[in-house]
Amino acid sequence: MQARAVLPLLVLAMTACGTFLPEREVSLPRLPDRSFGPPVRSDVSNAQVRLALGDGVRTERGWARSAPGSATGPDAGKAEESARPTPRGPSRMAVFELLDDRYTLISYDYIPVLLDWYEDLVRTLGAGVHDAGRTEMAAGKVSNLMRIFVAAQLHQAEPAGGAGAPAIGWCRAYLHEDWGPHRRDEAHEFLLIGTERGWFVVDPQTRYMRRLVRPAPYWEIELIVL
Amino acid sequence: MKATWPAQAWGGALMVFVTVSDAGQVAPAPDTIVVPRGEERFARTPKVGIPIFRTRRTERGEFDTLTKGEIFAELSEITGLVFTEPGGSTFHLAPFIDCRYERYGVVDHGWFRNLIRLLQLELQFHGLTFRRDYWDCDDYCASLDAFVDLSWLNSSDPVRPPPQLYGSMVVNQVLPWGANTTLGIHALVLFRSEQSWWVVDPQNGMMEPLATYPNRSTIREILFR
Repeated sequence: MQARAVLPLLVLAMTACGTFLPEREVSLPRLPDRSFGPPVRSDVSNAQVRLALGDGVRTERGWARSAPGSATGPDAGKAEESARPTPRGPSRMAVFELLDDRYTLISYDYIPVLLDWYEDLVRTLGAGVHDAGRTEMAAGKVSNLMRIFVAAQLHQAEPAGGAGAPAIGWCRAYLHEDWGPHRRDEAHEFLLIGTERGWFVVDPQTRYMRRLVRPAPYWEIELIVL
Repeated sequence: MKATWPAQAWGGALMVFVTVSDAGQVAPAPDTIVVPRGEERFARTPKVGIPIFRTRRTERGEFDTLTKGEIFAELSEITGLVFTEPGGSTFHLAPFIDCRYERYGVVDHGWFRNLIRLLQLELQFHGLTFRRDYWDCDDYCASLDAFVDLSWLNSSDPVRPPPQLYGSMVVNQVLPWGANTTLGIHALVLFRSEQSWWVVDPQNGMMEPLATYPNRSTIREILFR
């Protein structure tokens, strides 16, 4: 009812502001309401997240260069992944970018739902999940859309505020071993999800998931954006 | 379902091992969990309008693009900063640019400007107003990213347009700008259109060319995804 009342005003406002853009109407999948949190909601502070992640990714090795172009990996033959910097000595550390003071952990059981929902979203919008480009499955895009839709739910669930930002982000890992279709000696981006059972690195293409542990012989985490 | 999916995951891992091995591909590592697919059918939203994607093309009809090297060069020239890649400097706070791809598409200025206005109306319509942490500056930026991504995913162009040249920019705001007078770390959106580089604050729709943006010399990072 409220939407019906506001919609004409919205159209008017858009026209007045000159914001009319040609659109295609789509019915998007909804995330199941408010079930993303663990049974007992636990927010963690920025410092706690740093400690938890730092424990998992501290490294004393330098950066290495990935295979030129992208002959293998998820974007083979499509958009080229950047070549990594050359090794620069033993003092490199992973770069963290944590922009919020507090984070709301996601329920471990909600991870499959999030992945299913994203695949549904991509299918709905007409891009095949497993088409050759797979750029739509780039972890940055996936985590961004997941995070925004979960944050919108948090906003509706707690209009007065109080929750932290959803613990959904992305990371870049330099692989020392093959992981699914991703080849060793290349850097790849994955989802990073904080749950009540710890932090998990998730590949949305293959649905493979690994706990972030220290030290990990199979990769080094280079960049975390949360 | 809730208590058992890890067990199902291991079952799934085994199945994937069998099926994928048959196909001659690599099986997952032993400590890898395969997240199972659920049977859940998601409820649908009412129909929502997603702006049709538009991007810049050259006179010859090709996508108008910039390489990573050109991006670094242009931004260094305008800001006077020496950018590195993440972790590329021993100085922890050295400004960096992260480009996932080697080549990005130039944004259509008019289309992007209208999209920003439309996003503001949409956020207002859905009651998404500022909340500390879970809906603050970085979430506004992420929502603009998500809005462009939805449009990009929805593109009916037979040739998938290249990733667009817009990204999140984290800046140490030492001078007040626009409606936001709070000093300190702030997240904004930076995009490159046919009218050079522009800074946008999706929180209030404020836009300014990067060349005149007052805090351009205190940029901390730029992420193009």
